[in-house]
Amino acid sequence: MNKQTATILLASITILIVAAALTPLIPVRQLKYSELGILGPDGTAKGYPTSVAVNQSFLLYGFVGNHEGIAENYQLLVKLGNQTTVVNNATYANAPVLATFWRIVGENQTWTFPMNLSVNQAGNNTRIIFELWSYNVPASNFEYTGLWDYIWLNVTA
Amino acid sequence: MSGSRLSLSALGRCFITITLLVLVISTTPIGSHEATGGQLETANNAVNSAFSAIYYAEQDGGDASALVEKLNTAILLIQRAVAENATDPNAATADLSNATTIAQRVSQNSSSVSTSGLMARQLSLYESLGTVAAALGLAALAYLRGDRVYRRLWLYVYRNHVVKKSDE
Repeated sequence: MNKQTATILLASITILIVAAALTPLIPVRQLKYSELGILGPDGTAKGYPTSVAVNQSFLLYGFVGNHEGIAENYQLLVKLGNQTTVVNNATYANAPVLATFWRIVGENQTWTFPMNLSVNQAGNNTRIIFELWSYNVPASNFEYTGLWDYIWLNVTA
Repeated sequence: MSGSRLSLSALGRCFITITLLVLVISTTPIGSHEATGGQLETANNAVNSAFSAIYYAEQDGGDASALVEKLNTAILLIQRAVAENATDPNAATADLSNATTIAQRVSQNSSSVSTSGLMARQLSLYESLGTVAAALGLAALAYLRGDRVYRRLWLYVYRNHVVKKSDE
């Protein structure tokens, strides 16, 4: 091996070692997001109730996933809406809250929980709206994440 | 005459005393052990404040998973208190008090998690910088003294080697 080859080899090995040593110091940019899902009474995405009686309890499961890179303080708000209730990724529903579920979910962890719900007023095309809110630490309040879901229900008297 | 005045005065005092007693009783909250909105707000604020402490501890590189679990216990106590407030206010009050205590402990413990996270991060930085310095130092040494070291090493390894001609 001549001197030039040895020098190149030595420089390459040195660069590799330095790069490997500095890797932990470089912040990794990951996509940050939360997940919201509503599951049926058997814990799968089927079998959702379509008709219930007033004050009749029905079971659903909520699913929340945290991939925000840090622990999150979540609240799932269940609201009672109808066909005219406006809700989208930017606007939360201006509707009465039926139930609130609250938990702190660690990074890369999920939270699946039962929701025993009931509606105290009859109506066709009642919309049960699920909104995910998370705690904004600098602002010291819960903020709407823009994640929402809903099911339609006919609530009979 | 004076006896009549005295008895009237005593009657008046008695009336005033009873009125005051009734007033005091009526202004005292009914069921003083009932969990109030203030207690609920205190517990909620304590949990959210503890979460903020956990949040910053994690940002400092600390592992706050155990604290998260404890704080979730406090949240469960608050939710149970809300559910049982109408039927068992004393238990609700106790639950809210316990939730507040747990949240306050979590807040206190998160500072040590934050400190250990910062220390671990600093140690990692020193390890990386040490490795880089050592690699560069060894590379420089190898570049400057490599030939001489290699020759000496070669001579040491082959010190007993006898070179024979291939045609012997």
